Amino acid sequence: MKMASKLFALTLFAAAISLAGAVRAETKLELKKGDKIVYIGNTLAERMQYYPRFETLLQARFPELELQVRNLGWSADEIELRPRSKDFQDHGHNLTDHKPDVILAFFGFNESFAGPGGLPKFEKEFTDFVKTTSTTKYNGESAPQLVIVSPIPNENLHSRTLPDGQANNKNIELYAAAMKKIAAANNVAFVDVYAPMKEKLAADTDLTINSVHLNDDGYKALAEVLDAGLFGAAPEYKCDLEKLHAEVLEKDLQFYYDHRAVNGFYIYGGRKNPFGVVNFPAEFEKLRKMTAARDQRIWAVAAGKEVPATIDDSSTGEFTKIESNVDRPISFDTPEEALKSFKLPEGYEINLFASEQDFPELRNPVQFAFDAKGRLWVATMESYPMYLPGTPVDDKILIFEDTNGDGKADKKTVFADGLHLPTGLELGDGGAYVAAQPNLIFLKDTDGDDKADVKTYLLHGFDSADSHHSLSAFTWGPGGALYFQEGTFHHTQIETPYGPTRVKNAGVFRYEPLTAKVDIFVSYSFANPWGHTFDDWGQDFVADASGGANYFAAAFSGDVDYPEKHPGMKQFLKKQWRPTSGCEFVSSRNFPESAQGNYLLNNCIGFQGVLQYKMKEDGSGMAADPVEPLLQSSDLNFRPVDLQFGPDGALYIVDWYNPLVGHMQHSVRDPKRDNTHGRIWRITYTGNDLVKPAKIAGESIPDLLELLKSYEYRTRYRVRRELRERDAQQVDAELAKWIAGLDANDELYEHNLLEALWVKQNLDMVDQDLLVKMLRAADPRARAAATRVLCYWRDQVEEPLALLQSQVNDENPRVRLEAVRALSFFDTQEALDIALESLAYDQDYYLEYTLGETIKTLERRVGAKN
Amino acid sequence: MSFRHSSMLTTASFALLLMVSSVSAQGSVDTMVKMIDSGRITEQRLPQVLDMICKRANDENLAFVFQMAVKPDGFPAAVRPDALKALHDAAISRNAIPTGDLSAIGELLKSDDRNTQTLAVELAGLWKVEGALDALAKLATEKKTGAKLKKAAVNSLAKIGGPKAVETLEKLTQPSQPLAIRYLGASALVDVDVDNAAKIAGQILTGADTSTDPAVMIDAFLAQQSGPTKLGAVLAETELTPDVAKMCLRQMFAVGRSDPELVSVLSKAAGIDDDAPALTPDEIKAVAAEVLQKGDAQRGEALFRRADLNCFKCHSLSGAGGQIGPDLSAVGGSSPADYVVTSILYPEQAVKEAYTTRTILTIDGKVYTGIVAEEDDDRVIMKQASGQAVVIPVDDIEDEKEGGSLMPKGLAKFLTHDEFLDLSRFISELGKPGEYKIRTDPTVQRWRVLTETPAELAASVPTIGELEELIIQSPEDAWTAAYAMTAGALPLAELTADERPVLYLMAEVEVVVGGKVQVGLNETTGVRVWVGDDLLPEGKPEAVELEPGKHAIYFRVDPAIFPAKTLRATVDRPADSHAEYTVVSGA
Repeated sequence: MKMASKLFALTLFAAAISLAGAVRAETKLELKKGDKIVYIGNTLAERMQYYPRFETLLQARFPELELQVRNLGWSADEIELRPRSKDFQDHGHNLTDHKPDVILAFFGFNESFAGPGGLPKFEKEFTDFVKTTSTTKYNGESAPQLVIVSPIPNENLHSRTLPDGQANNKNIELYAAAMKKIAAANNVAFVDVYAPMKEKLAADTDLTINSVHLNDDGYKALAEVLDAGLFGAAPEYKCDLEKLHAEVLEKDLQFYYDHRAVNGFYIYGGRKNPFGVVNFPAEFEKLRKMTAARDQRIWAVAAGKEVPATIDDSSTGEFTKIESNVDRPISFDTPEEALKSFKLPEGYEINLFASEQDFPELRNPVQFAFDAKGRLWVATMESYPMYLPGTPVDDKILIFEDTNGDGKADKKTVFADGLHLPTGLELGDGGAYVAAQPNLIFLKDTDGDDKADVKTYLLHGFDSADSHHSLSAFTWGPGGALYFQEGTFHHTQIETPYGPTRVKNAGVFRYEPLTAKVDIFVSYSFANPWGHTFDDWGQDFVADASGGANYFAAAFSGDVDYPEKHPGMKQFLKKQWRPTSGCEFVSSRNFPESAQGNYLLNNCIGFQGVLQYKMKEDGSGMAADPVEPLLQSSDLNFRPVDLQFGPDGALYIVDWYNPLVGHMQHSVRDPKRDNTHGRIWRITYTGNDLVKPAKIAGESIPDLLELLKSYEYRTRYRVRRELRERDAQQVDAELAKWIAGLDANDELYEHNLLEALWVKQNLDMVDQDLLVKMLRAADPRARAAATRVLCYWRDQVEEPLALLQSQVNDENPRVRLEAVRALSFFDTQEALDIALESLAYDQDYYLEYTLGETIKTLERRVGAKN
Repeated sequence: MSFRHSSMLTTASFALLLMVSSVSAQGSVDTMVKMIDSGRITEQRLPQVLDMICKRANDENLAFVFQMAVKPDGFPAAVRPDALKALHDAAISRNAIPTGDLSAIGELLKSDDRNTQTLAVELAGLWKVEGALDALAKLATEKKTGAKLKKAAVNSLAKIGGPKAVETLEKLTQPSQPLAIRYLGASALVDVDVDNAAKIAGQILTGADTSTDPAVMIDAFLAQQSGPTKLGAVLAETELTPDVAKMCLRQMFAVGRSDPELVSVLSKAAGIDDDAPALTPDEIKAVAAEVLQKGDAQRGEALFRRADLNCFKCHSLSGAGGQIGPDLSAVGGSSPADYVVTSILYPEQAVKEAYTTRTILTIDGKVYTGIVAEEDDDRVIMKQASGQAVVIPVDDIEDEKEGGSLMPKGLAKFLTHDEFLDLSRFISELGKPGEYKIRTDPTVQRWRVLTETPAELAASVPTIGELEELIIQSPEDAWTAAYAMTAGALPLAELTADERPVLYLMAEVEVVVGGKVQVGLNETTGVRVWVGDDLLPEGKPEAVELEPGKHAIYFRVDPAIFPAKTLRATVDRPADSHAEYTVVSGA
């Protein structure tokens, strides 16, 4: 059966190739004055709003035609699969709303991952699509001209950690050929950008960021190819292309605020009543007029005319006046007053590290991280709850420094501004990973002035139906994957070099920047998870905010196939309060012995402070019991939203400091929402000295490796992050020496070895020998952690199933749990049989849960193959 | 007999099982059977493996498991109830019924083992074993049958159906039977013949008094698509006392239902106004203003605690109370009065993420509404407002819709306008600074009250033996939940309608780090306290050392001597103690 379909596909390919060489009448695109052009399709199209090089050429070529271009491209869209959040169709961005005269369709890349076997299905779907789209009168009068744009090839970036693109390209060629054939058969225009782009991608300059997604240079190349493919040789332009490009970019930005509006659930979705229906209609009417006004400027600049430097939006309408429904007196305490509202257990102290008083830019801080120099970076959201049409957003990333060691910030640097709702932030790889719903961006300072000068759009397609539920709680795992999470209502799909990754209604993401892999780490019906942290041995825990639930992650992080989700799982501690925001384990020699290893959990409404739990073993999993809270405030505005131990061993807490926090209880435009406050607090224990901050930035590799023996988790965390930025081969060589020099009698010996294994995982330097050694370590916690590493190296090690089989038969339940979990990433009966071997041993709640899930996933996959 | 030995006896049969299993869907079943065959699965591990096999096995394999559970040389005796349970779950979750002759279930209906007998009764119904009708009828009608078993027998009769079953069920609804049995019989008839059931229900309710809650029967009609309409039509022609009508109505609201055809009939009979038009946004603003102006939070708290409003059934305050809806302790701190008013009047308008409900209609015309706790390819497990979970096989689902809330829409009907203002005010104040701010004193918020005080316990302070036997060993259902006021005081008068001479109460404390704790009381006269089985000396309770783990604290309160109307108890940490603990809360 398989053989037959392969043969069939090959025949098709051959036919397509010969067709490509044949001379035939091609359908051409004819533009007329006032045409509305709409792009649809996948990330190739979506990124064109950030790099609108093609529209620039188009408008420059036809200034007199006054073309209106709208980009409806959407990350990872496929012909037959374009998930959107609830009632998105009511937001005014269907083809029937836009009434296009011309449609440019960019499909085929995501579909191509189905390979030759999926081609017949694709051909049928694509034929249906072409027929429907080219004959439907979206504008009510005439059918649009449909232009099929072929997918582009993958680029070989000659990277140690990225695919060379060859395997993908074979499939893309197959699908592109099918698209061309179908377009011709239906008299629809087809532009082959594959072949000319292949030539350009072969040149020295990198045109993609990850082998599949074009950068600005890449879009310049694509623009030329597409422009030439549609209209022939470039004309003499009447305008400054860069100036025109800036105008197009501005129009695309306003359209993006409309099409990709955050908080859709409150605009058109399930919670539009009672507030959204009052304020949003006027806002979007204005925004749409503003976008149209920018079209005018584009046409003027394209025609070589001058336009005013500032854009005149005075005639685009007024907002509805919103009255507050807040019925309690609202007051703001000064930080000094707020300090008096805190209650801590005996021996602890709290002090103000930074506030809006000394640093007025510290407004609505949301997540923070410490860099290798020990500086505190924090993301602020003064534009919260969302962009107001006409008021440019200016959310920031600030760097705070305590230069004199008095526990207070005395220096502030603005690393980045002009951001919109950076709900998550983490440092690493020489820059900052920042949530920019619906995207993940990377900001980097390349000239050493601590000001970001390069912005890369890394990933797209994170839903923004509810900005509260969007990407948050960024954290590195010990192995160098970046984790972040999102909540319910969201339908997310991310395009990667390995195919699309999708999740609906909440999940935790696992992203490997080095390999560009994105996995759904946990697909679970969370409300809105806002906390995720790891312990010393790599076990991780996820905190769901709205319901206040906390979960042991290993058990529900096995693989499932979209749109499946893991079923309800028990919580590892009994919920006391809700909603929570951020969790962290105590790992600081400044804190008392009795608190070490305790789970800390911020809570923001009702109980406003930091809850504390004592961890204990629970068979294959872990559990926790409540002990005295670490912090409680009686100030109703105190909103602890993130917490982390600093380099000095003190616990830092970011305080959103706001009287109004709900989306549902008040209008998003309630005038009493505050955006002028923000505080960072610092808790120390008076019974012990502070921790001497480790020297990390710029230190030698051997010195950094020694720091992996540090007591503090956060020190080791930052050291691993620093090592990611060093030369992998050098780190590998130094690691060998370091491992050889380790004292086997040291009680931390196996933990040190585990750190070494994690450093290798960080650098994607697969070491089968060290892995096997750790899989059979004496300490079961090390064996469990190594089993997790094996899971993510499964496609790079020899005989992964044999290795997992011995872990399944381990005497320790957590090791068995990790192994059963890892087996869910396979797709064979053999893997299923190995997972079932765990039934010979005592079970417990988590083992049963995880085995049940692995069986379900594997039975489905094995069944699908048969 | 060790299982390893018995597995040798059954090897041939297991091999047979292997041969009948189909390739694709049986991937893990085959492997598990092989593991049992090879002796890798110990007897102790066998129940779980059988459970997993039954979750996936086809009907032929289920037949094999059933045979092994009943035939003399089958599974070890200790494993048999587990095998039956696994078969039971397969039937509930995915309508999977073993092939072949199932009459062997008849023998099990006579089992001495209560657990096995109950499972057999349920299986007979689920599998529709007609040969079991006589035995089931006997269990259903005999006086000596226990309540739980009787209910199971009645339900199974209804599942099997047919004239014989109906005849038995109708017998149960006759006036000679106790009211509780009549309600049960009528509820079972709903699934067999809803028109007949409605007619009978009308007859029962006409003569009913308030001694017995008709909840089970009302639930049965609500669970049938046409049930509310048909019952409503019958009741429109029936004379009901206002109190009985109120009981029916209260049950509807308690489970979050407000089907208009039934609500209007019952409201009329209960003398409650049913046709208030929906409020406009401006009217809601006006009511919200009135709440802040006139509403009295203290009176509101008393209303919140009123039995017929059922608030505590779903909501908790300071962690104590029902766990079906959100804890309301902090709600006023983040929600303005208009939001509170809207939420009480129109609960479906603003629903927190975890509380969105789903309504499922099955091919049998059954309607279920609740919060989906779990779902997979086979079944949906739904938590209903009653607190009970129901398992619905996916194959049975005819239609489903998302949205809405389990919160009853008609709540305000039980309130006067002023009462509504008071209740709303109370909720608006929760979590705001002042009397109803969040408190973290370690007060006992969730109490257990011994429902009936045995005579010997009323007479005097029990000996350790009496305490052990009558209190510590008493079954869970001997206790009723009671919740303290938000400020921590438990009104003693609410605890019992009749004048009881002496009350026995229990609190629990969960200790994480061992150390000394001390029970604090608002008044010590007339109170005796035990921590575990240690009776503390009279007067102010002394500090006691507690190990990590859960500890019960018992209180004997003699209202005749106790000088206060409320009891307020705390579990405090003396200054020199490092104990870490929490007072147990919840439902």
